[in-house]
Amino acid sequence: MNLVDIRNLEVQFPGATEPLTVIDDLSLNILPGEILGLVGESGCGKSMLARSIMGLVPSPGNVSKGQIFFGDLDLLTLDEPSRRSLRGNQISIILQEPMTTLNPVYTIGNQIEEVLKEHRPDMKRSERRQLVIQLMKQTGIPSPEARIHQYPHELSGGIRQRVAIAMALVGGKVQLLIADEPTTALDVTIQAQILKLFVELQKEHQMSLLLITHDLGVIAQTAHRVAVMYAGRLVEVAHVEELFDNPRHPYTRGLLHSLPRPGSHSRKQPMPSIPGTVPSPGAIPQGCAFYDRCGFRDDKQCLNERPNLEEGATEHWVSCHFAAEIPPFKVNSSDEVTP
Amino acid sequence: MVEYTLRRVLSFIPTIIITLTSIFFITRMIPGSPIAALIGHQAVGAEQIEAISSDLGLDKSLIDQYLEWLPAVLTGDFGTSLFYEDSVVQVVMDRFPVTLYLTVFSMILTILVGIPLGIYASIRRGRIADYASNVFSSLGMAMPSFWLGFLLIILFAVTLDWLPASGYRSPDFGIWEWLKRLILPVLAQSLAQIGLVVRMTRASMIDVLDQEYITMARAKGLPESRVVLKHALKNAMTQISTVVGLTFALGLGGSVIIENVFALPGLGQLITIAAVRRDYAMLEGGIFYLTLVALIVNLAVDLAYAYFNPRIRHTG
Amino acid sequence: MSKKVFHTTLKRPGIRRWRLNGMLIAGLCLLLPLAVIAVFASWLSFLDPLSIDASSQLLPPSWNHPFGTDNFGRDVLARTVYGAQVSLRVGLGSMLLTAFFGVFFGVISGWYRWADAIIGRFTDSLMIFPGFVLAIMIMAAIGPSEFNVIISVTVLYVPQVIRTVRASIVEFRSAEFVDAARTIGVGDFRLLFVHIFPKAAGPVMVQLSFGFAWAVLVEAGLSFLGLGTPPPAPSWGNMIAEARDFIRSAWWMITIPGGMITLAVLGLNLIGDGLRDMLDPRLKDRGVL
Repeated sequence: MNLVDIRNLEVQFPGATEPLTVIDDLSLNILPGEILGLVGESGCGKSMLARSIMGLVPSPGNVSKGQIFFGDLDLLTLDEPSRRSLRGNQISIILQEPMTTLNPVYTIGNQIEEVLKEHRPDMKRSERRQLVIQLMKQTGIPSPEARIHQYPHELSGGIRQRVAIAMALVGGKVQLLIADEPTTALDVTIQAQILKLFVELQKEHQMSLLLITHDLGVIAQTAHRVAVMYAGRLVEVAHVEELFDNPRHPYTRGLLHSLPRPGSHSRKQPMPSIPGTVPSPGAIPQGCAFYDRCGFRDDKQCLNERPNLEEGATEHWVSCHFAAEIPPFKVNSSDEVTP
Repeated sequence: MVEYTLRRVLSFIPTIIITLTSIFFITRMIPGSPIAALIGHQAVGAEQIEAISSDLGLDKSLIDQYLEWLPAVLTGDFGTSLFYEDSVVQVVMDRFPVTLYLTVFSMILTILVGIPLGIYASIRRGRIADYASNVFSSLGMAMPSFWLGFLLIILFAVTLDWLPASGYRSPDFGIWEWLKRLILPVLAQSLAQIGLVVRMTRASMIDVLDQEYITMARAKGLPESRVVLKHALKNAMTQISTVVGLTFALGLGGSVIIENVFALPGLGQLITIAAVRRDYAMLEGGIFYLTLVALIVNLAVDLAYAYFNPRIRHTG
Repeated sequence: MSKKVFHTTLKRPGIRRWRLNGMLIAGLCLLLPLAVIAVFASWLSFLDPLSIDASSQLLPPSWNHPFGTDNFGRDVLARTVYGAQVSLRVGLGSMLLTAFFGVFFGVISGWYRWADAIIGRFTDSLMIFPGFVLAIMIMAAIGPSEFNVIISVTVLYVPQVIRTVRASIVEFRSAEFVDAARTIGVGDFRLLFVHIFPKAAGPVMVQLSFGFAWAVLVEAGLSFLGLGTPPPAPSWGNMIAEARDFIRSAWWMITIPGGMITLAVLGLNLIGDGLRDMLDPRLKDRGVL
């Protein structure tokens, strides 16, 4: 049984002549209690996917096709009040920039407590306060009794992100936590602490975690399963070990090659990287979206035919015409990234 | 907050001295003697002019006049009006309430209409309601308030005969007698202010609504009304309160004309008459008190700004 | 860097430029006909705006007098057109002066700290007053005339331009191209007015077009109070003042000049909005103008 089941999701924005598709025919499931990593370069639609699940696609964008099941509920057919009752309660999100996600003019106590006021109207004021303090303790915020009266600008980035986490979990019924680049804006030392906290809390609250990042290192440390996204589509989905050992999609391989590893590269060689950039919505090629940047392409099939996400090996899904033919992955064969 | 308030209030003293100094030098440094205005076209001997000059202290140097004048006005003595032959402060105080009613009522109307309309336009951005409010506010800002005043008189006083065209009665004559003479002036004065407040409210709300913490507030499952009215509005209020203060100063300037249109015996009318007659003492006193109101409102706005913005409150 | 790409997909793609330019075009459509008629008034054979005709007092609009006549039998159309000239002269004159002094003092005060203290004190003390009150004070001191209206509008508006210019100059004071220019020996004056100011000119242009609109309103207000353009010369403001005794009998006397002010100010404000949004859409959000 899936916790979340996304089927053929399509998200569009109105464009000058025709709608721009930012998420294209995307299907993905999230199992109860798993950490699913979602990777991809910036602009590939990861955040839009997160917002689609939250029901917060920014206007004038809209979900134009597909279904998103949360348990038995089809989220896209729910009315706004019922969706709202899930948000911040059973489905929570943490955004990248803890500096800007907290409202500068309210105390953090007020902002955490607000979730309880909305979703647990039966609770007394004192109970709410107690729960807020307890959550702040759990997320590792020192002396929470004093902090609840502070404003965001008085806190460090790490503490702010902990506040955001407390805010996401305080409802107490969270089944899915979406973390959208939760550590990108933080110092490296703080990053590790926050990641550790995520893993602990995920176990403790027995929730699923959708961890969105462009950092494969983060995925390797935390995720159970990985979904790789490119230009609004999924290109590869697999268990984390499988993906790192046997990546089948050229894009995934490119990402893995550009991961710095101690001793694997000579200092004289430049860091390998994938040439080019993600095509913007509306400029996606007719065939495979990765065509322009791929080292394995051919000029017939890849140029004209869009590959589907297919299950090559057990629970290893790839969308590439050459998924089966591509040679086994070797870390140093970085010349394969050049088209 | 207490410390901030204190500091802000203390900084008020030099501002007042600067205001008075500016008033003094602008009104007196430029040629054009009040005596000429006083005696009009009568044939008067040179001795008589000299006598009036020394009477008014006009034979002394400008700096000497200033050094005598400043301590006097700081203790509330603006001298005697040449034409009213009464203490300037007395005349000003008689007229003051009328101006205050006019500006305060139009300010209240401006806030009550302008801010909600601006918020509404911001959440309906790009739709018909937004365009309609844009047209309304642009027109409001383009129409000269005194002309709008006449249009209102033509409609409500002349054609419909619902309200008096002009004049004033103090509240002693009864609330309705008092209020009904203020309705048209307040409307005429408010429209341009409303236009300005609508536009600025809309702009700052749109700015705020694009922020991440608004997305976060929605992600917490808050209803849209709370997202807009609690999370967005309080942030936008820092900018809006500044604009409201600005608008008030604008309105005080506008009240001068409106009082002329509706024959309201307020400070504005007094200042205009004093300006035409070059009754310097009256002009100085009138302008000072009008400006003082603007300064006090400014102070209130600054304090409101600090209240809405914890960062100011803490760091000063 | 990478974050930017993400945001372009999040926000509505492509700012609707046509709408913004639409404001500029709409403004020009309102203003240009007025300006052209005013400028070429003498060639367009209007009646004499000053000629009094006792036999044709308070005539409603007709073929001979499209906007009717006033209480002295003067042609309202001709007076409106010549009033437009006054508004244009006042607006243009005061904004040219404002631009000159505003830019000069703004640049100086943004660049030299000693000047900043003096100029800043000066602008602050002028900005204390509610704008129109200061205008009345100045007009009372120097007497009513069209030229003096230009002076007083300039005094009122210069501080605002000084502030804007100063802010941009301060921003550039530590820019790299400034250091670069200095190291190759570019003099202060050349650096300021040739290299730095042009980069800051946009906001000033916008501010001047709003200032123009405002000058038209101030001129009308002052003339209405008898402190601006003195009669019998027609100005939209004093036409309204003369019409006030006839609002019951001659609606055309009051509606036409007021309508003209509204159109002109609306046009100028639209031009300002259009310019601002073209230059930098963010200025609106920052509430700079």
